[in-house]
Amino acid sequence: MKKDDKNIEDLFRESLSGYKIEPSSEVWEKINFKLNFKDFFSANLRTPNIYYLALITGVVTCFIFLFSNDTKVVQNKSKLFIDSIRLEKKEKTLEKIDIVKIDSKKKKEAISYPTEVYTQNDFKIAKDKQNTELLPLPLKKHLNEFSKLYGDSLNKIGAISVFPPKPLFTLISKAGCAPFEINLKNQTQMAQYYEWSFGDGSNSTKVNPSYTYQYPGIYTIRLKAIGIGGIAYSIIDSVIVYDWPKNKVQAPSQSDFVEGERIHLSNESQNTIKYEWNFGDGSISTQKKPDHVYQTAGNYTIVLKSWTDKNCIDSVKVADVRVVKMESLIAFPNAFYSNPDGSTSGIFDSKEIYNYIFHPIVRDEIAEYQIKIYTREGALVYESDNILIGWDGYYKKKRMPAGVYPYIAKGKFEGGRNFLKKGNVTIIYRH
Amino acid sequence: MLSEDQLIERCRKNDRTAQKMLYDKYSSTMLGICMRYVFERSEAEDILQEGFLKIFTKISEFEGRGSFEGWMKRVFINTAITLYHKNSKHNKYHYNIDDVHISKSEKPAIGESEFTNEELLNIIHSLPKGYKLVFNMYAIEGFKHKEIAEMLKIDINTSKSQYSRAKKLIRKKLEVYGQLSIGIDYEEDDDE
Repeated sequence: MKKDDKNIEDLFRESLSGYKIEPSSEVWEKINFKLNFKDFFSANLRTPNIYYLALITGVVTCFIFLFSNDTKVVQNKSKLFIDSIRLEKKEKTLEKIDIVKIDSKKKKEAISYPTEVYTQNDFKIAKDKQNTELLPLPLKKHLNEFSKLYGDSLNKIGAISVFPPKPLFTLISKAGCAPFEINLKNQTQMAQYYEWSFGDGSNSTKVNPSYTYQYPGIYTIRLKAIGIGGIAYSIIDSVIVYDWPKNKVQAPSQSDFVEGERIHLSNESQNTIKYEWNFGDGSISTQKKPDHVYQTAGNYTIVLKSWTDKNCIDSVKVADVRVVKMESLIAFPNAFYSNPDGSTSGIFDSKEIYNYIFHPIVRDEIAEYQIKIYTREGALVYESDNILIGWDGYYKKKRMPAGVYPYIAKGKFEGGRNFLKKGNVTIIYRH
Repeated sequence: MLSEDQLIERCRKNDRTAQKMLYDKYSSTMLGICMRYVFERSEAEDILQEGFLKIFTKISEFEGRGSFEGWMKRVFINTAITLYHKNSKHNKYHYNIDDVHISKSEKPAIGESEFTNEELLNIIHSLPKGYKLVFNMYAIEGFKHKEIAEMLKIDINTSKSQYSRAKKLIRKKLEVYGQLSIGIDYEEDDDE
């Protein structure tokens, strides 16, 4: 690798260190011009430049001097101009207040917050009984307070400023899964009362209310801040509440299963994208419609956790299942005595257990059945598709010798469940 | 014919003719250097112009120690670095070297047996600005990483790592170019 490195550096250095390009003629022209320019301004008494410089400076100074007198005049005029604007503005705000008071029943959504100015006349209106009907209640109340507190000083000053409320609130989180609890921080200034509405019909008048949206949707939260004189401003914000997973899971049609039996689970939910089935036996599936096989008998609870695309989670118990050993549904003895007196028909009464007949004990109803019994060498010695007929240990009327005989029994229970049993049965001779 | 020392003396006295002679002697070499630092010819000529003005006005600072050409080179490189710092403030060169890839337009004609200067310059200019500076200064100018770190106001380790990454990329590009020049059909990398 190092040799390679050397090569790159050598390659570039050898080729490019002698690299020359002719610049365009403009470059020297610009350099020359700038050098001359510099020389012109770096004046000393020996060069004629200084006189040119002095002349230019003198001319420029004259111009400045000539025009500076005019600017003083301009300044005075503008001062007058500004004062007159201020005066106009003051009259305008007084006008505005009357309208404001009468219209204050209308809800205002303001973007700017003008400072209201109350004057003596406002309090005159309050005292005049006839006109008080025009004022909203809070304003009346506050003007009364005002006149009590400030009445005398008002006579002297003539005006007092009142700051309007500035509503503001922040939401810690503007989106969440239902049920969604919002976390509000009220940062309103200069307000005395609050009116919150949460967009779903609920309200509050607390300073920092908490609220939980139960249902999904997009909601507008409105805060109305009411200040002195009843002046109110509102501000809005919105939250999104996401739907929870809507599971459409059906419990399996049977509640009892056999070890090794395959269970299929269906799920028709529409708004979910992620799944976690917990079968209670330590295994988990992340498929929407999984199959599962319980290997060990026992009682299990199947639980499904699912998530929407907005990561809202829900957990639901699907079913309680009971898993039994297959032997408990159909059981074969592992040995029997064959009748020394001769072959029988093999029919037995299922309520009694005959030692002379090899047959299964069944707890569930059988719909289909087949059994084949072989010698150890693989020769078929018995076959039956009737569960009521067992084997008497004879083949072609010959009593089979004592020993081990493998068999395969298969079939179906009523209800559709299959079974398959492979085993060995030993014929014992009773002496 | 003036010797270089005589030429420098006259330049100190602001002799315009001497300055022109110095310019004629070195401008093509210096422009070659500038063209390694910036891709645009007009930008390179701006640096050339600015550099020479600095040289002519500050020629009194050259004390005669070391080569004059080396002193001039430093002036140009410093001018290029200042321009780089100025432009990088506006995030002009916000660039991740891993985003650089070999594009079709960079491949030269088949049949050339050596790398031309234009090819090498293209390779240098395909590097992001910071890496280009470090590569030029270390591999071609021969500065040490400590000096580069001081001049560029970066950490010495940044200089080393930028250099090594620049070299890796250059090696990759040289392979592309090299194979093409031999006439081997080159398939695009999957990661392009």
